[in-house]
Amino acid sequence: MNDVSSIQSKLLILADDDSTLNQLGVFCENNSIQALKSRKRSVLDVLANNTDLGGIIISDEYSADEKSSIELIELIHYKRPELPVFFNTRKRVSEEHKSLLSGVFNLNQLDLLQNQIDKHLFTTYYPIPLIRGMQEISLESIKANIRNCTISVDPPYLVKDQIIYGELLSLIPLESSWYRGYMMLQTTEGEIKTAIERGLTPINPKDTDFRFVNSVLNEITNLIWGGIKSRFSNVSDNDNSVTTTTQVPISINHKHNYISFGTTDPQLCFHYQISGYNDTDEVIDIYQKFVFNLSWYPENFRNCDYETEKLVESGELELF
Amino acid sequence: MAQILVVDDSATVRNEVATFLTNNGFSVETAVDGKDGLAKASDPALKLIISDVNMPNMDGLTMAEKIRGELGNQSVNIIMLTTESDPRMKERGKAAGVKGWIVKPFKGDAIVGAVKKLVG
Repeated sequence: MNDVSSIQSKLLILADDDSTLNQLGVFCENNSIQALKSRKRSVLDVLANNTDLGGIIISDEYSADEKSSIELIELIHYKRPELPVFFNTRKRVSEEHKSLLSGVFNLNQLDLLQNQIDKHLFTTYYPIPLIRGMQEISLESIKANIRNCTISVDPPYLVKDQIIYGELLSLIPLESSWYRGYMMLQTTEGEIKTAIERGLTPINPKDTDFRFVNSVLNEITNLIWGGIKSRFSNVSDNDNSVTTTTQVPISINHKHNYISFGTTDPQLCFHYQISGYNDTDEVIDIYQKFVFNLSWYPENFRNCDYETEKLVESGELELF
Repeated sequence: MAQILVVDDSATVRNEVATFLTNNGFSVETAVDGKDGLAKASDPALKLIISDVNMPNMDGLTMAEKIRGELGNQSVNIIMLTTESDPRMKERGKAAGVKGWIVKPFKGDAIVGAVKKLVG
C-alpha cells in the first residue's frame, strides 16, 4: 500500500517525436501527472482501454488511424467530450478547432500548459488526511470481503472520464454538513465470481448467480460508506441540511457505458488491484470514484477519529 | 439449541453470520429486511435477533421498536450488527430495548462470543 501524500492525474500523450515525448514526460513527472504514452496504436483502442483519464496531450506531428492530429482531436471530442485536450503546436489553430481544445501550447511554453492543466484538472482541494482515511477504510472493507488476497493501490488521482469500467457498479450517497455527493465502485463480474467459487468471500461457493456477485460489491460499498460516515461525516445534532437540500438527476447511458452526475468537475479516483486469490494471474480491478457534486466545503473538514477516543473497536460487542 | 434470527439485506452478511453460528451449534433463520424480520419475530422459540440497521423497506431500529411495541415481545434479545456507530443511533437502539451493538466489519469469533454471552 502506498502512503498517500499527493493527488495525481493520468494524461494520455499522443506524440511521435522522441524529443517531444521526453520533454512532456519530464513535465508530467514534475507536475503530479502519470503520462501514458501511445504511439502507433489505434487511438480509439487506447481510449477504449483507458476509462480513467484526466485528459489528453496531442502533438501536431502525431498521426494514427490514417488521421492527422486535427482529425484525431475532432474524433476524440466526439467520442469523449468530457476529456480536456491540450494541443502542442506552433501553428495557428482555427477558432473552430480552438473550441474543441482546453489549451494550445508549444514546448517553450510548458508553464502555460501547467496553468491550463491546473485550470481543468487540479481544481478541487482534497485534504490529505481525508483521502488517506478513505483509502484505509476501503482496504479494510475489501479485505473483510475477499480473504487471503494481496491488494495494491495506485496513488489517488483525478479523472475527467465518465466512462463506466466493467459490468458491476455500485453507487451510494455520501452526505454530511461539509460534503454531499456519491461514491461509486466499478469492477468486473468474472473475477468476483472466481473469488466466490474459491471460497474467498463470505458467500457460499456454490452461489455464483450474478445476484450474489453483486452482493459482494454491495457489502464492500456498505462497509466503506459506514467507515467514512463514522470518521468524517461530522453531522451535528441540529443539522437538518443533509436531508433538506437539493438533488440532481444521475443519468446512465448503457450503450456508451457512460454515467453523468450533472457536473464536469474531476472525480477523485482510487484503483485497487486485488491479486493472489486464484492460481492464475487474474486480478480483480476495483475503481472507486468520489463525486462531491452537490456540495464540497473542505475547509470544514474534521477527522472525527482524532477527536473522539474509540471506546469499542469494530467487530466487538458493546453491551447496553 | 438457541434459535437465532439474522436480519440483513446483504446476502454476504446473512450467509457469513449464519455459517459461523450454525457451525457453533445454533439454529439460524434469516430475514432480508426489517419487514421480513418483524414477520418472523413472533416465533416464541426465538432467543436472539442479530440485525443490520440500514435496510430497505424497514430499517433495523424501527423493526426493534415494533417488536417491543406492536408485537409486545419484551423477551427476545436484539443486537445490532451495522456499519453505523453514531451515538444518537445507539441511544435510539437502547430506547428500543436493543441489548448490544457491533460495528462492522466483524470477525466470526466475535459474533459467536457475543451470542454465547447473551443466550449461552
